[in-house]
Amino acid sequence: MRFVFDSARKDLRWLFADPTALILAIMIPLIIGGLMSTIAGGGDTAIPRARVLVVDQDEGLLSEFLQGAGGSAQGGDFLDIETVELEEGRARMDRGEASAMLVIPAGFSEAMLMEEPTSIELVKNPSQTILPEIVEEALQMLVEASFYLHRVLGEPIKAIAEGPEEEKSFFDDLRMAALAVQINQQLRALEKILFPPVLELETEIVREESEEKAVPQSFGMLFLPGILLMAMMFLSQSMSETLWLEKDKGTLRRVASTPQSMFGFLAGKLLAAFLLMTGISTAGLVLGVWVYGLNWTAIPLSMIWLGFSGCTIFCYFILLQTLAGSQRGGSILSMTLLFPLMMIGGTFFPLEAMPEWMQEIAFWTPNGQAIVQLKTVLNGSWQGQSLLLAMLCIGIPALITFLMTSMRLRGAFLHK
Amino acid sequence: MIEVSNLRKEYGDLVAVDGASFSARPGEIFGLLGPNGAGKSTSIGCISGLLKPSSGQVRVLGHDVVRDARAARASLGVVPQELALYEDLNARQNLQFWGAAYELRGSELKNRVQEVLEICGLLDRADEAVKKFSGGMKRRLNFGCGIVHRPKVILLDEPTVGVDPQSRVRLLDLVKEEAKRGVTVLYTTHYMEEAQELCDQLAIIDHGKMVASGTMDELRGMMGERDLLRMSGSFDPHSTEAAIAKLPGLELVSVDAESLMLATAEGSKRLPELFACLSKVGAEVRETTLSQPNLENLFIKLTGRELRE
Repeated sequence: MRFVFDSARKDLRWLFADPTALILAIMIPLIIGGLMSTIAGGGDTAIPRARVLVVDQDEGLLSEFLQGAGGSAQGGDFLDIETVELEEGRARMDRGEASAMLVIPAGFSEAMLMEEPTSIELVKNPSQTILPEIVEEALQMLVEASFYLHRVLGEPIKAIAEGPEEEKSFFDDLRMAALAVQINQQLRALEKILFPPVLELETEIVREESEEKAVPQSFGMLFLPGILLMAMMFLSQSMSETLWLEKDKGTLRRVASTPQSMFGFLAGKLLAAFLLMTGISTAGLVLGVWVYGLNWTAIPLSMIWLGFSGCTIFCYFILLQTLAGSQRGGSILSMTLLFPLMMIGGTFFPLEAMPEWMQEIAFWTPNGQAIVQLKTVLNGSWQGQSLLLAMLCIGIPALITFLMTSMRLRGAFLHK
Repeated sequence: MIEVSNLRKEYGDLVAVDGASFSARPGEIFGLLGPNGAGKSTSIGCISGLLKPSSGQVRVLGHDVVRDARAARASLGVVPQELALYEDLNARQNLQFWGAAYELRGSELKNRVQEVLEICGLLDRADEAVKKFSGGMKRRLNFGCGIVHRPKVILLDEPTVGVDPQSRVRLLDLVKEEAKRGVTVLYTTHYMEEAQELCDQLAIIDHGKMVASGTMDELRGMMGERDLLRMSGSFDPHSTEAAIAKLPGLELVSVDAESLMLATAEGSKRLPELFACLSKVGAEVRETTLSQPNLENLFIKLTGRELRE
């Protein structure tokens, strides 16, 4: 039994003496996960906002409409509108302090209402790529909206814009009522187009009791379990190749000539893998707490579960190594298992992003089972019975492959 | 003590070891001498328990290597032909691991590792990665890993292959010191000089068969005080054999169309008579070599071919 610890210590020393494989096993999932998260538009950072400087030289009805529409409702989600003087605006654009500057020239509203040619000037910040494009798109939409507003309510707006008769300060009641009636009639005529029937949808979210205490899902949290398990899988594959190194270096033969059993020797490798995996998963989980607000209390069980899951996958890989005819063959064989498993087992892509039929398949893979349970552990909804069942489902086949490997080590593999 | 009786190891139709029997006593260095592929490593493999014999019996300190494998392996120290080291670890860590594999623990392991580092002359490089060592240093550490647990029986499989002369001398000294401590040493080699210098008992093995065994004196006795004459040229094997048979005191070792080998006492004095005889049967001699009695000559005499073929 003590040799198991000696063997594990040797393997850990060996791995840390040349940590290249170790670093790769950790970095690859981080890179893949980061890319996937970015492609999927993930991350918990705030949505970037475009600062738009508006130089309103018109100060008319439509220029105010343009500014107001840009700063409200959906536009307000990504646009910060700020009214400035032309000189100040240009200076701030030169300093790169805004995404775009909109110059509404004097007489813009009048020209629009009289249907005369006019233009507005949009200056874009060349050091930014996406935000100025968003501003331009939004502006085009507003200009079109202004055009249609004019088409529908052109006359009353024009009358309001022209103001009351010269000798009067206010519209008289009759004129005002006539304008109001005109607007009302126009809107009624277009009621079905402008205001379609409104459906009021009453919704009720029914959750299980356990889900109520769950941490809200974010993109990061969606990808984190996959990234962690991917690291375990890469590490398993990498560590399984040490069997060939032991064989090629002659140390496996030497171990076979000692009184120790191959079971103990292999168990040492498994223990080293477990310790390494729990260590790495702890680091990943702490990162999860820091970046994604993962609950601290989820760390101990998640760490053990990740270590256990990684070890079961390690057991499959070591058997594959002993079945191959060479180190290269073993590497190809284990990689051939690694990538499809990651693809269909919900490791590469989150299970939630996979079609239902693939989720069904994923559930039958060891990493799929591992990830399903890991998510419940991470969001605090885990149940002892289902965790134990999953542990047996992936643990028993792994134990069988482990025993087969230890038998092959002294036999067929040693004498290849 | 190692006792091997009628050891046979087959791989399909190939018989790697064919009925080998010998025994080595404590404090004795027993040499297995033979060319590459003769069956030396297979014999070591069977004795160390790495290979299961097809038939026959091997006992180490009275423990059968098949039925009582664990006890037999516990008393063995194996120094394999190829280096079997963790090159990314340092020398101390290697010795610690192999010592632990033989149940050494705590201060006993620590002290013994220190001792072996000193024996092997690696104390000043003990904490350096093995991959930075020279070939000779690696060989010495390879030996150290085989003796770290103070085994009563050591199996050395061609431990000096590819080693520089200085390291070879050092290694041979280490082996002699172990034997002096009462350890039974089984040493395989295809270097004649090594076997002559080191071994108390020797077995010559070829094509899996033991062709001779005994002490160095006994083996020399088998050769007699006779020189070995090797001739190259063109010969008619039948007429040459008949002509040689008529010359008293000349033993024909082998003859073919291009070479002739003979064993005879005072070979240099017999040359004129031999040349005359060969000339009569139409043989043409282009080159003649005469060598004094040694193991190589014995090997040639017994197998009809050179040891390094």
